[in-house]
Amino acid sequence: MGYKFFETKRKEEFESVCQKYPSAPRTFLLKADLLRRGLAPTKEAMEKLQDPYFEHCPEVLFQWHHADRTTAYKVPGPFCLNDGTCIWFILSPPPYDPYTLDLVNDEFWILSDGEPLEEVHFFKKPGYYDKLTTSGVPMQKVANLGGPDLFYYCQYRHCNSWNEGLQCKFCDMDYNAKHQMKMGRGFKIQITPEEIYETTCEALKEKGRWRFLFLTGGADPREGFDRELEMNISLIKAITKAGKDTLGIDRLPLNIIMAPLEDDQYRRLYEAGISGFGSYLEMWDKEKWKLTCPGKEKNIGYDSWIEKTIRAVDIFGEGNVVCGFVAGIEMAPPPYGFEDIDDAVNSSLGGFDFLIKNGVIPVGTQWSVMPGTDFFKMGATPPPLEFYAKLDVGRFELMKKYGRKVLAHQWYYKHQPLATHVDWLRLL
Amino acid sequence: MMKIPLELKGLLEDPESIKVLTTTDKEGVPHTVFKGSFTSLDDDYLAYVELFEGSQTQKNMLHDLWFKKLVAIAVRKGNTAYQIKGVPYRLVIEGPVRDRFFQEIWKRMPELNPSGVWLIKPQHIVEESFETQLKQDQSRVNYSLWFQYLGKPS
Repeated sequence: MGYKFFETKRKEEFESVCQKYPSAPRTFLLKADLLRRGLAPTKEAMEKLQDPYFEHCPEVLFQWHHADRTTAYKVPGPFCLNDGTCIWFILSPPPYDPYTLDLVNDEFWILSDGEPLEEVHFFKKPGYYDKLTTSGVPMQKVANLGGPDLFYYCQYRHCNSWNEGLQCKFCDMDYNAKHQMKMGRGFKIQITPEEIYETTCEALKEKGRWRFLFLTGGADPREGFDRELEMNISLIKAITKAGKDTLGIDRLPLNIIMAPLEDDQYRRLYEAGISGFGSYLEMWDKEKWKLTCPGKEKNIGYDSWIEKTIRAVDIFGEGNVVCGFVAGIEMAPPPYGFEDIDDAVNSSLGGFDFLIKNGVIPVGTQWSVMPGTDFFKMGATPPPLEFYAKLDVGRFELMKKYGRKVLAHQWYYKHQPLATHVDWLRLL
Repeated sequence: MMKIPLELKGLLEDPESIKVLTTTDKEGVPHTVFKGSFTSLDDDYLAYVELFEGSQTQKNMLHDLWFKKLVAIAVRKGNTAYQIKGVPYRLVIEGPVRDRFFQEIWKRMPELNPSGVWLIKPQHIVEESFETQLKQDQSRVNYSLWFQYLGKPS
């Protein structure tokens, strides 16, 4: 195919893709490109961002940046454009030819080669961010802002697949955990029910701020995932109790992402207070999946992963079960990915179609080539922007074909700043 | 930037005034709705709460923002009326403006999850009260006076 990321100019590539795919809104393409190329803030923008009014991301689950962040400057998590498109803040080194974040008339703007493209807005720091749990943990390390109204817990910052070197090739979870601990930012690996209860109570005091709560973390396959399930259930019960004690309601809109489970395990999750379930398959092609996700292959297996995810629909209902993909790893270096854009896009679209037919909604996160991942060590680079344009346009055709069936209740444009499929749902 | 006149601000603040918004889709098809929450945010922007993520107006506003298309707002109470044409500037989904507008909505409809607060930058503001339009009409040509008297039924 001959695409060379580091030799492709940001501005030319973006304009060329916008012209070739006129049905794709420019802000959606810009989001895909910002997640791919990242941002380089000017000193002025970074200094203004240090204002304690703004939310600063505690970086607990993954780092997301394309280079280790070791600066004293704090950086935010999500931000939005004027049209409401939410985007994650990803720092990038110069070889990525990143976009610039600068001030224009003292307002934040994204610039490309000096040309202001879009005004951007950073979010207000949640009230609980500066508080500590009784155990002394900063509450922002227990849960953070996942989107403007998404309360995001990361309960476990270690995946057992890393113990055997079987982690997914794009994943930096354990690397990030070690990096954060080195940086001395009050980071801990496992959150307790007490910490999660206190943090949730404090967050819910900010009335009208939150729309959804979301829980995810590293996997623990031991004892058929029962250890992880037991831990998660104790946390879910703590969250549910916080909802009862603070708001007087029995059930919060709480979603979880974890490995797919047995039916009786799903029921226990539901009874504890989970309303939406999701598992991240990561990619659709079976052979490439085995190579890319060796831990998942060892502990569950491809066919079983899909069958179990589909069975979750019986417990949680249609619209409440999602299957996640890391958009872009279809074009990781062969043999992990495809060389041809169409082969990569068609593989994923085939999987999306199959899942929707079975009541499962395909969702996802855009691939960020992060330090500490196997793909990073291989020298992998992001796929061409055209890959994301083709994937989005093709997926939108599926969305139109299936209509409201593709609307996952807790996956919308305010809740996933790391992927564009949620933005296209706004056009349905 | 065009400033919003005080009389219009007062009219927008009045809960009894009727506020109508017309947007267009990508084919240029107009879509008109009542928007009771319309008000002025400050001297520069009009604002209203979009209640539904999936509404036609929401989709049209996105389109009109992306392609810098004008939207039209008509406001009226009694003989006082204004026509405003403006461009969508921003959907506010977080922060103090969103909180203030949402709290007002939640006082009346606590079960709703509104989408956000749309800000519109006025480009043309025309005062269209009955008296003003009558004066304009009468000042055009003499025959309007002539018609008024000669056309009257006896």
